[in-house]
This record gives sequence, structure tokens and C-alpha cells, in this order.
Amino acid sequence: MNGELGTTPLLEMAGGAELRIRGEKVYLRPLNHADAHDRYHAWLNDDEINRYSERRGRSYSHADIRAYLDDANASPVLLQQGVFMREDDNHVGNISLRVTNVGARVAEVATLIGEKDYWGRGVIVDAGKALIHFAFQNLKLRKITLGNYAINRASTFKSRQLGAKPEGQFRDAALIDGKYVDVLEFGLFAEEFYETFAELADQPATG
Amino acid sequence: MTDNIQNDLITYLEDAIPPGVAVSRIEPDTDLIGSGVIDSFGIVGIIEFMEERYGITVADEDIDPEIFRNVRSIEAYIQTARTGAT
Repeated sequence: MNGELGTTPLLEMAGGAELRIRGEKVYLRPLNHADAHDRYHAWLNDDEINRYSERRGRSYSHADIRAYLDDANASPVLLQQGVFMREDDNHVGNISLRVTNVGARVAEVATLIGEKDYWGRGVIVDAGKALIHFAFQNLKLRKITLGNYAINRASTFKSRQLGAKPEGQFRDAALIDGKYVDVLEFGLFAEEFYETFAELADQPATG
Repeated sequence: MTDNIQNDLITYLEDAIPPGVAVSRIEPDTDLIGSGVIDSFGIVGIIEFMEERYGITVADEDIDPEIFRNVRSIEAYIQTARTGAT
């Protein structure tokens, strides 16, 4: 690991453009302009996909995606990765790690599975597991957090499957479809993660 | 009652097995999460089924992999929720 957390671009610290984070069904890699394809563009503008995301109700262009990727890849606090199926290299979604407290080495994980055919196939948990393993093992982060609207039960279950513990419930903290909803926060330390996924403890996260 | 709940759950879950999951028959102790029968998307359907069928409400804190590990653990949760002994 080269550089200093919070100062060096996180992608550079993580291994640069050649980074490959290994999951069971998926692998993760950095995104570039060639990845800003029509399907990615459609994911960001789909009401169903973004129903429980801060992206909902907004529209995004291909240029917006390219600008976002440029910013993300240069950011000292953000590691943006595409989620690709190992079986056929299909780009099915994205996942990100955002350092929210440099001193305490805490980062938040956020996910998007854009290809609806891959919903219900364990892809989101596999991608989350791979990125969190990398965050603890390679980036030496101390804690991962995940958050979601309480009505998004799929996301609550995903966080619990990853071994995260409930840490907070913020009442009526968001507005979805005209109704106030609670926001849930989950937290995960390395020892808790490797308790859940003991088989990963001695495995490299990349390759 | 236990058998009825277990049979209902098995019928629902066998109909809802996602494509690509190598399970065709579910037993009371089948690992539903490890086998891929229930993942983060499948959880929404099984919770809705439980709430509608048994008139219970699954609280946010109960969306826990240990409760949804197998048919037996889901059935135990339903029994407890129905008697209010939470």
C-alpha cells in the first residue's frame, strides 16, 4: 500500500488501474470512460433501480458519468469499482468505498446492481464481501459502515448478511414517495467480518 | 400447526427459488442463505408472505440471517410472533 489515507488518491493506494478485487461470482475493477456505456447510463436513470437511492428523481447524462468517474478515480477518499461477473465479464453494477473518517479509518460501502436479471442471485453480497475484505486486508481500514432506508428490507438483510451490526435508527429522517421513513445504520469491524467469513481471513483479496 | 407452517413455507420457497440456484427440494433444515434460496432480494418476498399469511409484522431488527437460516428457524419466529412472546 503506497501513500497516505486521505491525501493520496484512494485508487492509487489500492493498486491503480490494474486493481482486481476477487469475489466468488464477481470481480471488481476500477471504471474508466469506456465503461460509461448505455446500460450504465440507463441504470442511473431507472426509477425502480434508484427507488431507495439519493439518485432518485434526478437525470444523468453520459458526460455526467465520465466526469464522476474522473473525480472518483482522483479522490483521496473514494474508491469506485465496477462489479463484473466472473463467468462472462458482464458489467452488472457498481460498488464504492468512501472514507468518512480518515483518522479513525472508517469508510462507508454503497452498492448498485443495475442489471435486474442479476437481482436475487447473491451478487450484491458477494461484491460487498469482496470489497470489505479488501478494505480490511489491503487498506487497513478499521471499520465499515452501511446505511439504508428502513423500508428497503433487501438492503437491511444485505448488511446483516455481511456481518454488520445495527448501530442506529434515525426516525423519519428521509422522504420517500411522500412519506417520512427511518434510516438505519450498520457497522462492522474486521474481527466481526472474519467471524462471519472465517474462510477469507487467510485469502488474498485481489488477483 | 408446526407442520402446516413448515409446509406453507416450503411451498412458497420452492416456488420462489431463483434461477441458477442448484436446489429443487427444500427440507426444514436446508440452509436457505448458504444455498442461495434467500438472498437480499428474496428476503423481501418471504417477509411479505409471512406478514400476509400469518398476520405478523417482521420488525427491522428481526431481518436477521439467523432467523431466516432455514424453515425451522422461520417457523419458530412465526410461532413466537403470533403468541406475542417476543
